Amino acid sequence: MRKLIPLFLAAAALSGQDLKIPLNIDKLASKAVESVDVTLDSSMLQLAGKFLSDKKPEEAEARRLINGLKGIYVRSFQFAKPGEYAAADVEALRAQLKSPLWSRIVGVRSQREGENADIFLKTESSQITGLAIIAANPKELTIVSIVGSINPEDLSRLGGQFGIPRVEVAPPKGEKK
Amino acid sequence: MKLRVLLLATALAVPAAARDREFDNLVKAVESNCGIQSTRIPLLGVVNRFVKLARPSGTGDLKLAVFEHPAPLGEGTAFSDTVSAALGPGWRPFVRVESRLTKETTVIFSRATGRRLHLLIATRERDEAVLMRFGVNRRALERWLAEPIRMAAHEEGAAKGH
Repeated sequence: MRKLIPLFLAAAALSGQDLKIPLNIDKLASKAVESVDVTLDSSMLQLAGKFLSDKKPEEAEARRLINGLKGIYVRSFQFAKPGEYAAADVEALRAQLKSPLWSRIVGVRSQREGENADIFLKTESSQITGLAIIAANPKELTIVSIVGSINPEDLSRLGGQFGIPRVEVAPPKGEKK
Repeated sequence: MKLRVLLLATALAVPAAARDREFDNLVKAVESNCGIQSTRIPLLGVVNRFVKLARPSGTGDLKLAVFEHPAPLGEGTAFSDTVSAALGPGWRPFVRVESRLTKETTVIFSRATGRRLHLLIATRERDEAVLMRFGVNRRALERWLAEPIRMAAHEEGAAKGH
């Protein structure tokens, strides 16, 4: 039993870890005709936060948005033809999202277009602490990982920026817009 | 009094001189590792004096090197890897865009220098490579964080007079 304790601790520690984009995903850049890699880690975001003023409304808003975040990571690949990446390439990433802290809030599948998109949220102590998007079609793969405290209303603000696709989140039932 | 002014001017000039030396070393590293020569840009120093006033995007302290090469460049990674290796401490890449179709690679690096943030864009196209380093103010930083890829294309075009 004692031998198992470190394993349990390790598992617990892993479940609390932030989402990591596996190396095999980055290697897809060598197969892709176009690739985009945006890495705004905590030090970059902190740095940006220091430079933004809290007196001007626009900068203060950007600063507030950034303050809660620990990282924004975007990987996007376009391939010349279908089949240049496999579902297995994304498996290591999906495995991390099977942790109990993560839940899939949106899943879209299109048999005709071969498109699918999943949005996952990481929740700790009733707070959203991470967001992941996996959007794929036969010739395109986009992965977004946002680490840190996010207000669901801010998701729509982040969409369209940093290479993040636009995300519309409906307000909870019973809540007026 | 004159001595004080001279000392102050020297103190202010040293970091700028160090940044210029760093950029010059970067250009030399690209020239020797990628086998390409930078093109002399006439009056860039004069342009740089007025760049803060003239540029709407909140940038200044511009250094630019354009490499037009007779021989085809190597793979895009060779150029960006050379730039990564030759850059001084503190520079971090935060955006990388590669296109095999257009044979273009763009990497954007950032570094905080005192109260200013400096960006360095390294772009390698089919028959040209560009290194551009500049400081950004707060307003510009917001735009750079929001749309780094579009801003890089805009800044590069503006610097080259397109």
